Amino acid sequence: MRSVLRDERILLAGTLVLCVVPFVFGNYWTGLLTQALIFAGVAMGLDILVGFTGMPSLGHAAFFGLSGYGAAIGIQRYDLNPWLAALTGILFSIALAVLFAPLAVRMRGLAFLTIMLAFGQVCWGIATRGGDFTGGENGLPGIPRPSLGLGWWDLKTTDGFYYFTLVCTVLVSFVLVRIARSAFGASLLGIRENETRMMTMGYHVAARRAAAFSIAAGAGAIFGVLSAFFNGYVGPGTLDWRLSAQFLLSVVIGGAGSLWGPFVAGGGLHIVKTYITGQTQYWPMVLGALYVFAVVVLPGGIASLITLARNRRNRSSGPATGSTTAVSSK
Amino acid sequence: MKRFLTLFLALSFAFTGLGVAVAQDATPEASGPIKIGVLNPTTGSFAVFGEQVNAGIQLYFDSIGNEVAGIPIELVFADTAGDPQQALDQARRLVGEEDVDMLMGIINSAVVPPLAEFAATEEIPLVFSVGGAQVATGPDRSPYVFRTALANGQQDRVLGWYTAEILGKQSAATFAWDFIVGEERVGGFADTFTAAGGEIVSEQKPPLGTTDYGPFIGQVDPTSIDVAYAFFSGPGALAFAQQMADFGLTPNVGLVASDYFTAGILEEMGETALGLVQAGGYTSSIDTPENAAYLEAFAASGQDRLPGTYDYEGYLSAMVVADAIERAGGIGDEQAFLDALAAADITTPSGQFTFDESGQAVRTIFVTEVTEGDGGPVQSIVETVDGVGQSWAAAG
Repeated sequence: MRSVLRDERILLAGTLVLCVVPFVFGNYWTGLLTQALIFAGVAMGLDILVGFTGMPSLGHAAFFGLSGYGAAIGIQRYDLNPWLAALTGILFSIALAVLFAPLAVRMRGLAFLTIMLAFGQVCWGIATRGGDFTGGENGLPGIPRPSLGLGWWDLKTTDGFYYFTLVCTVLVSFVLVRIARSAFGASLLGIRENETRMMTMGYHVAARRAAAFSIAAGAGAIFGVLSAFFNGYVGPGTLDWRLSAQFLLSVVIGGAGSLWGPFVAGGGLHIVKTYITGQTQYWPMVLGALYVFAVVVLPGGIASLITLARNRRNRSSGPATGSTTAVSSK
Repeated sequence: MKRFLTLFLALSFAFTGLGVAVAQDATPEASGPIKIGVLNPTTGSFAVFGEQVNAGIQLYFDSIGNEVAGIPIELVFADTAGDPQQALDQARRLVGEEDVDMLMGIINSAVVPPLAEFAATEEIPLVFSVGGAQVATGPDRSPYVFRTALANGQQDRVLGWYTAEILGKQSAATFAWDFIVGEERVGGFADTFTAAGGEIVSEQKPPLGTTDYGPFIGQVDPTSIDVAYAFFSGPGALAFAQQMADFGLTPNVGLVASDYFTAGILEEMGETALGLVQAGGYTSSIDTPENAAYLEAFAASGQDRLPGTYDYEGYLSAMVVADAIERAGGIGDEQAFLDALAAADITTPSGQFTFDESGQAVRTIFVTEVTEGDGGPVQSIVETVDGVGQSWAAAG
């Protein structure tokens, strides 16, 4: 039972710690953590595709950005209720993923990486050249945050939106963890490890890859809308391949296939980047060095720290007692 | 379970400890310096402009001893990399952690709308030193937002009028990179050019950053136009001028441009630059005591070239901000500071400076023409128009 409940415990502990943030930190840190949670959630979702199914994507920002654009356009061009617009944005992004999935999942490895890069760039191109409709290079500023209709929970405040983001993050992470641990999640690992064998065993590999693709896109879409509401703005930068690279890097540095590793890395990278940018003009160099250092020292990512620590303990106190889950066995 | 609880408690304490440290750090000092957050790209493709604006701002505050109204001024620089998301993150850091009293800088148009939005919601004064996107000083403009630089199209309005009315040109083709800034600039030019009786025959929009204009120049019938308007910068500007000559359009067809054919590019162009007409908010050949003083200060800062638009715009924005702080007696009373900014009426190296009711600078526009000089082509001022606002139109 211990191993089964492990993920829930991490989730619960993380939630409790994150709950106290607004009480002890100022507005600035609360805001910074809101954006960090958003990037963390995207990275965690992407891990289902990259870590579990073994399909590295360099176009994931497309789903993140398009849902934001969908929501913004819904509010500003069609006067939709913000909640309805948010839902439209998310569904639009997921629908696109579902439509594109059959084509994308035919590719493997580098080919998949490249076609996703192309997909992302097409979305970026449409957004920058969409004239008044998409706001072109300017993007769409002035996206109003929705209201919960509760007097004590105002999303317009930094704390209020932070808690809302936290609730969404917890829900999405919970779903992702459940998916990862399900038979479906295990079959994704199987596809990553030996596709032919999975096929001979009767699994519809393409459908499962497409499902993983859409799940990752769905998580990206949800956080894309949150980001649009948080910043009050969407622009072509949210579709940029550099953001896709940041997401992919978060998965790698966090430890592909561990879910919470990419989560920590996704949020951590944002905080570290914001901090270092303020400290030195040479931040791209420092950040680059940090990436290289992380990959060289921890090829298994942040998540492998736990395994390392456990191995060390087990070596001194006899054989391992708890079994490891599929998630942590990577 | 016990280990988990211990871990949670330990983490909570660690957070609380940090929080206390942060809280103590953030205690405001009543008589501290005025902190100004300067947000400009110092990495990425706009880095060279960002550095020049940063240096311009620094130069002005250094020249007044980094003190206004008896209060020391402290500049806190941050890098936007020209990216809206990073600009927002850094703006939040400057306001939330560095506790700055106001923001200035920016540079590229793409960062302007989200930052204007940020200033409005955070209620923090923001002065765009450079960054032309019209929306920032449009009808929905926030009272916290000002722009000392020209809005996109502002100088082009004067250029359009000058081209039709003074140069007597009748039909024009416009060439501008296909992005929002190009669109707004061509819009300004076309507005006054057609109002003065001219006609836009063709609008060509090469993709942003391209240096091959052959396919676009080829689409325009050279006999149907007597002038071409160009909005390109850097290597793009140089390539365009050369290809216009290669296609045999210049010198028969006049070339007018807004401000991006800099001294360096004109030098490269040599003879082909002759007759090029430009409109801008600053040129080093302005003959006033204020500009002479600025040129001297610029040279004294260790520069062996003449100042360009970006050097000057940084300097000018600092000058306007310092003047407002002086008249408001500080920045502690935010409303007084905003009122002082709005009421600015300063004699600057580029003429008289005021704001319109939307926080957009009203400035003098200089029309220059490249003529034969002693040591090669030189730019000289052929027309000066005072009091040009963002929707300027020729009188009568």
